[in-house]
Parts: sequence; C-alpha cells; structure tokens
Amino acid sequence: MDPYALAKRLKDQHRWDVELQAFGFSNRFLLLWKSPNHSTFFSEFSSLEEIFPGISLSFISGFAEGDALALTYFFKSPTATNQVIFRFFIERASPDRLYETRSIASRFPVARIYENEISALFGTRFLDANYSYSLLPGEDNEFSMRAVEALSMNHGEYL
Amino acid sequence: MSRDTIPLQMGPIHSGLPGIMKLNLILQGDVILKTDLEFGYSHRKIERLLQDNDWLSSFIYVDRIDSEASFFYEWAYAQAVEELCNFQVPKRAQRIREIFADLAIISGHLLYLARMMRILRFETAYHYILREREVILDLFELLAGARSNMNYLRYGGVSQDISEGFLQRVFDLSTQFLLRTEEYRAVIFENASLRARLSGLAVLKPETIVAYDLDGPNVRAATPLESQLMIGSIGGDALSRVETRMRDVIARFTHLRQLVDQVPPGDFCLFEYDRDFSVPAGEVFQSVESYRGEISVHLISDGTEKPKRVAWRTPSQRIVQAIPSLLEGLPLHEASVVLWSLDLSVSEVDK
Repeated sequence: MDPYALAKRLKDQHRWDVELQAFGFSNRFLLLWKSPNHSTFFSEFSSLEEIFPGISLSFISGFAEGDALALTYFFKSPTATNQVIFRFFIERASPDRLYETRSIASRFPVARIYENEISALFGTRFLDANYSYSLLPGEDNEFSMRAVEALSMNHGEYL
Repeated sequence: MSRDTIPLQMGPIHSGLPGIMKLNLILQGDVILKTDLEFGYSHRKIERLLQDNDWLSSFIYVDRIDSEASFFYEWAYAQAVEELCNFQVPKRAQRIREIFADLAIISGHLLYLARMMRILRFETAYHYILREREVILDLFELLAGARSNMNYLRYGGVSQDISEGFLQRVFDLSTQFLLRTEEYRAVIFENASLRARLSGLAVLKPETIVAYDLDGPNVRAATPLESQLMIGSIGGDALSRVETRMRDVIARFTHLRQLVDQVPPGDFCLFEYDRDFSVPAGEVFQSVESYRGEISVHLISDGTEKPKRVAWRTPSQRIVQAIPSLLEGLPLHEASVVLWSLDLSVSEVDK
C-alpha cells in the first residue's frame, strides 16, 4: 500500500494521530504518533490488522530523547511491500518515575523479550504484561540506556 | 504447587546448558511440567558501549555480541552504516565478504554439529567435525588475523585484502569436505541409535514458529519441503535440525567452489580511515542472514562522531522463547539435548 494512502486512511477512518516521515534512504517510511496520548495505538490495533491481514511484529526498539523514551515498532505483513514502522514518545510524570505504557505481548508473543529488554534498559513498566522481567536478574538495577543513567530501584519502587 | 511436584533450578553455570542462563523447572517425577527462563548473567551493556564510543571502535564491541557469529554482526553493522553514508562497496570487497560469510556459516554449523555429537556422547564424530572446522579457523586467521572476534569488516569494504593462495585453500577445503560427505553420512546419519534418540524429539510446531517470529535452519527443518529430503525424520524435530545443518554445510561448500573463481580485481575498501570519521544523521534498519537466523540492527545517527542508538535483534532472542513449550512433557535428561539442538547463543540474548 502507498504509505501516503496508509497514513491518510489511518487518520481519516481510524482517528490515528500519525504523521508520515522518511526512514533511512531505502524508500521506507515511519508513522510517527503525534499526540502525547498513544493509547489508541493499542486499543485500536485491530484497524491495522484489517489493512494488513497477517501482520506480525519484527522488533521493538527504544531510545532516549531528552527525558522522553521513544518506542519504535517494526511490523511486517505478507501484504505490505515494506516494513510498517510506528513510533511514539512516552513522557514521565516526574524524573523519579518509571516510563509506563501498555504491552503488545498478548497479541504478539515475540514482543515479550523486546519489552523485557526495554524495561531493563530504560526503566519502563508495561502495564498489562503477564510475565516477569528477567533480563537483568540479581543486583543490577541501573537503567543503562537512559540519557541520564542509573537511578536506583528496589522492587519496582524508587528508594 | 502440589506435593508431588518438585522445583528444580538448572544453572546458571551448568554443563548441560548452552551458556550462562537459568532454567527454573517444575518437575513431576522426572517429567518437566513448566519452565521459566532467566537470562542476563552475561549482560555486558554492549548497546550502551556502542553509543559511548566512536564509529571506528564499533566493530570491537559488535564482535562481542557473539564471538562465534561475529562476522554477521559486523556485516549487519557495516551495511547499516554504508546505507546511511550511501557508500557503494567495491565488487571485490563484496565477493570477499560473501566468501567469508559462507565460511562463517559452515564454521557455525560445524560447531553446532560437534556440540551435538559431544552432548550425545558420539566422540568419534565430534573429533571428525572439529578437524574440518580447525581448517576454517586457520583460514579466518590467515584473512583477518584472528580465529574469533575478527574485527575484519570496515565501512565500505574489508580491513585487508585476501593473501596469495587463500582462494586456492578455500577451493581445496571445499573439495576435500565434499569428498568426505560419505564419511559423515556413515558415522552420523546412518547411526541407528542417534536417529532413535533424536527422531521425534522436541518438534517445533508451526504456531510456535509464527508466535515467536522464528527463522533460520530451525524453521527450515520444520518446513514440508525440507522434511521430504529426510529419511526417518518427521520434520521439525531434533534430528531434522541436525540434518538441515549438514545439508546447509554441503550446499555452502558447493557454493564456495563457484565463488572462488568470481573474485574480481580492484579495491578491497573505499578509503583509508581517520579518527574523524562520522556518519550523516539518519536511521536505518538493516538485516543479514546468519547461520542461526536473521540478525537485524536498528541504527540511529545524529551526525556526530558516535552513534545515537544501536539496537540489535538477534535470532537467539526469539528462539529462547520457544524453550518452555518444547520442554513441556519431556523427561529431564532430554532438556540438554533439546537446548543444544536449537543452536542458542546466550551471549546473543544478553548482549
């Protein structure tokens, strides 16, 4: 599907607040979620499944942008000529809080290990995840990939 | 937990495990009911180290994601940077990379086969296989100066040209191995006890493949096309995983015999490096096929002398998630064989 037509359809028919951006130099595009509230992405995900039957998750990647966390979701589909890439930014209520968002693992089980990693590296709580985080067992409670590193945490609560 | 179930922790340091990881098992008698996995014991913050060091230092850290598959991590990373910089890799360098990739795939598969033979206590086959792999490691040393963690690729090519006689040695090795195929068939694949042990063990089901986005030889071993080529294997089981890798090795050696005649003259790298090397701002998601499956890198550059973000998607990250379903209902003594048959690298999971 033409990426411009996809962005227009998601905006007009499904009320997704997205903007089309170039991704790399190989004719790929990224759909950037513009509004701070990205919950529609999870609650209305079935609209994307209508457009791309058989869509599956390839990867979730995170990076720090100032105090915000950017999550990028790479999807593939037998009906898409290229990857379908979504990104949204998560803000925290205050610097001593974890980032919070919803898990996509119930729909795509492979997301579990990527969410697990993002949780351990950036200090993120995936609210409806039904698995325990285990990438960094034991004493290592630093969030090494945050822009400002290393806040101590004790059993999910800050000291 | 009921009274007749037994919790058992296996690992993190355990000779039956393919790396530093922990299995938290629930057993009933010696049958595995439930498996929880724990990783992270060898987490080295490699993605953070890549962010904190300049572009030229990257390959040293990239290699350490998994020393055995280091070439493929270098290749994915080099391709990602080359796409951002819009570099056209010289034809000669491309061919050298392809030869190196074939050798690295063969080396990885042979190591897999050797480990499988070791865990099954087939010492003769174990030594036969390592004999071939040693020659490949010698070739790596000749080419890159190292037998693992090669640090051989560069953005726009490779670090040094192939030496005189290298291609002839690759051709001779390929010919010699293909002549020995019968030997392997007799020692390994016609061995009735090995076939009985592995046949039907830990079958990878289509729904598991889809759920965990699996690919590579484990999945090829479960496809109907591959299963038709096997004798006595039901497809997707541990035996078919071993057979698929052996077939892959033969195919790669056959391919290598053709490749050695196709290395054109010319440059082996686009330019000489200096410490001020930087990459234009942009981002890219690049993948290569390793001997375990697809390796991808999500690379973001902000135009400075260091990457802004390097995130890795590794094949072992995906395959480990299938372990609980594969072990369920099996006796405890099969756990090690199943884990080794999947060709995991815990180092790839932890990073």
